[in-house]
Amino acid sequence: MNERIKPKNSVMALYLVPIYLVYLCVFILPVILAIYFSFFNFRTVSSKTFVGLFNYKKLFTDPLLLSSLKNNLYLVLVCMIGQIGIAFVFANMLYSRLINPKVSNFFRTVIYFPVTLSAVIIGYVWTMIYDYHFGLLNQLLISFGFPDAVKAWLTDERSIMTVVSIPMIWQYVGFHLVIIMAAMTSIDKEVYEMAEIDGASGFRKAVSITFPLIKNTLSVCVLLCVSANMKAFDHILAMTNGGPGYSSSVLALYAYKISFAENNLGYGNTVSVAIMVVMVIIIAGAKGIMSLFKSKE
Amino acid sequence: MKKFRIIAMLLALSMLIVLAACSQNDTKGASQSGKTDSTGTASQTETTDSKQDTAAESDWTKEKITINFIHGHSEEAEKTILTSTAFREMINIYKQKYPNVTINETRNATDYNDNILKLAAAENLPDVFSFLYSQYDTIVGGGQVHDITDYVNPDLYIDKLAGCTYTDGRIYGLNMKFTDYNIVYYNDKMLKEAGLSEFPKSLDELLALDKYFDAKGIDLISLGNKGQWFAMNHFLNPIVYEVCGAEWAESMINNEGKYKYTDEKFIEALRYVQKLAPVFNSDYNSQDDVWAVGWYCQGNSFCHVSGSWATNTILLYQDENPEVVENTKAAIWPSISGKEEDTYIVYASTETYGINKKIDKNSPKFQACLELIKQLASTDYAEFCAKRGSTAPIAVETDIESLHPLLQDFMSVHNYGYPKARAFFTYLNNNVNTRMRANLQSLLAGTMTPEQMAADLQKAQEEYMATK
Repeated sequence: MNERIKPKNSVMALYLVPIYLVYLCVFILPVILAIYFSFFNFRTVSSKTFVGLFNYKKLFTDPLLLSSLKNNLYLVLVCMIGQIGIAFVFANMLYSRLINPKVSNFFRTVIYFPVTLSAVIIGYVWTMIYDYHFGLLNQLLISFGFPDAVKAWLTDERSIMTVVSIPMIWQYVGFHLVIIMAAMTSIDKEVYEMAEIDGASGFRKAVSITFPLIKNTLSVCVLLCVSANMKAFDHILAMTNGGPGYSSSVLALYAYKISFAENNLGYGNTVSVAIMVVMVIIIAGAKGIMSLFKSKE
Repeated sequence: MKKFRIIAMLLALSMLIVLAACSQNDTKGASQSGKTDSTGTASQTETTDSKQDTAAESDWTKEKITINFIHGHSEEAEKTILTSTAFREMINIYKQKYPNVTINETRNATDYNDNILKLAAAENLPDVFSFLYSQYDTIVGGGQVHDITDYVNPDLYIDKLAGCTYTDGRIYGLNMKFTDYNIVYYNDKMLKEAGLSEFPKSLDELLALDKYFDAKGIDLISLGNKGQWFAMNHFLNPIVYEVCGAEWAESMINNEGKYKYTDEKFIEALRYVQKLAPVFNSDYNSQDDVWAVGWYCQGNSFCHVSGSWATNTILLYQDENPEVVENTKAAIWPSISGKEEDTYIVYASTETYGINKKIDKNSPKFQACLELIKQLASTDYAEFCAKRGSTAPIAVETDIESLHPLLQDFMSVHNYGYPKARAFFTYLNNNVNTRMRANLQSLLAGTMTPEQMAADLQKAQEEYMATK
């Protein structure tokens, strides 16, 4: 920067003070407070009883916390395959020369549209789709000659996590599609042309050219997918409220219920801290695995 | 360079202002107490013969007072749900009586119960608010609501204000609602077609009808248990009273530790509830109560079990499904034994309105708030409801002849003289209540056994006692 217009370091620090203050109050302070409060039992802020590690001991023996964690991990896995996998396939199809660019742009916009909707709206729309009596899904099953497959989708505890993950996949395919397509534009078209001359099929191009060349972008998609699904809350709240029973409960919803339905704020904070730790471990693990692959290359 | 500094300073200043504004306490009203030495007490209303009403009338009615008030009645509910319509009527009466009082209302119809706990946790409750009995530990135990024992007369109320009396024996608010929870609304025409002349007296007789209706593609009972508490209140409540007895239930409410959820008789009660699952509509765990009423009114089920509020909801279908509505009759949920003495009418007086303890008891504002909650739980309210065939915490004379036949039918069930039992689960602590609601969904779905559920509830009870 031109030295004449470059502000002094003190002025630059002053510029940064407001945003650091906001960051401190909005991000850092709540985390510190959550850790602090997790050592107490309380129902109101002024009636805290220090319980030491009691809440943390309880964490490890809480079966509902474990089942919520399992549901989160299942959601991460299914959504990673569903969202990024489908987005990758669609991106390759839309990037194909066989598809008119106008059609490609149209589909890209349409597929992205659900991303702009509120999760609660998505939840209610899919609740109607899954409705036992009037839902689109059961009507389609009857129309296509599978009346035996008709069921109350949102009440079956065994399949409920798969059922609630489908709307989440549907909503965010467009998000990952846009990222992947943006990454694909950076690949030299000549590479594809040469592959076509050599007789490579669409599948071969996707696997041998596109995938290796946008691996870094895909790893960003994976991290975004993991973090989004570890904090999943509103879709499930709108569709099942964690039920039937606790079968579709996820960590964020469980922490919310502990805090505001059972009014056990101390333990609710402990669960929140646990969510944070689990997320850090998973994201660090995912990054570690990815860097391992990179170093092997 | 000077410009940069000025801009930087302005940015920092504006940020500080924003942060300061965010942290501003929005319960100014609640904290404006103690500025007056007024010692006046509540003026007489139709509601209660206040013990202090004999004291000199203060001039609080001449002062400008603002009350911050939060409640869970939406505008839509005020048009369609009788208790909400009555609530609005009471507010209007209050405003006419006391034009010096301005009420700043916050409607919070969605997740009200969770939100009131959030405000209580932050000790940021408004001047007047409603809360549930299961929240007493937080709100009363946390010292956030005024003890109004000396200002009210329990004898006026059907339950002697037991529904707003905490474990210390003191009264912390007034209940607006009084609800029966186990009323069966059934289609009399369908019943006669099934070969019965009157509604079954025993549970087995009722369940035996399922085969007949199943063959016709009709559900026996429509239930919407997505909200989780419906199955608990409509079915488990009366069954617990019959199987476990009133003493057991009261002991559990009072956390005496004399009995346990793992007691065989409670497990037996859970077994009876589990037996009901096949007679509901298949999607009972994913539908809500409003849907279930509609399902019944469309002729898709033989009966619907609900609280007293459902009478008026069914009448809303008069134009849409006149045949079902005209043929609907009310009955009490049958007992297992079929004996009348085992057939409990389960009730609860709920929606306690309390006054924020931050308000000085000697201030005009306290008087204004007290009159407001008395108006909400007044004989005015009871008469408004009675004229429309609904129940209220205060008993009033009702001319039931002028009511719609269904309302007459409901009132005759309500007044029949069945043994009364207060809705056990309404008064349980939050730990057990929340767990029970969720577990009951699993129990009905068959993914949890009665023994597992009982063990889990006992664990929740012990956790509650450990942290109390």
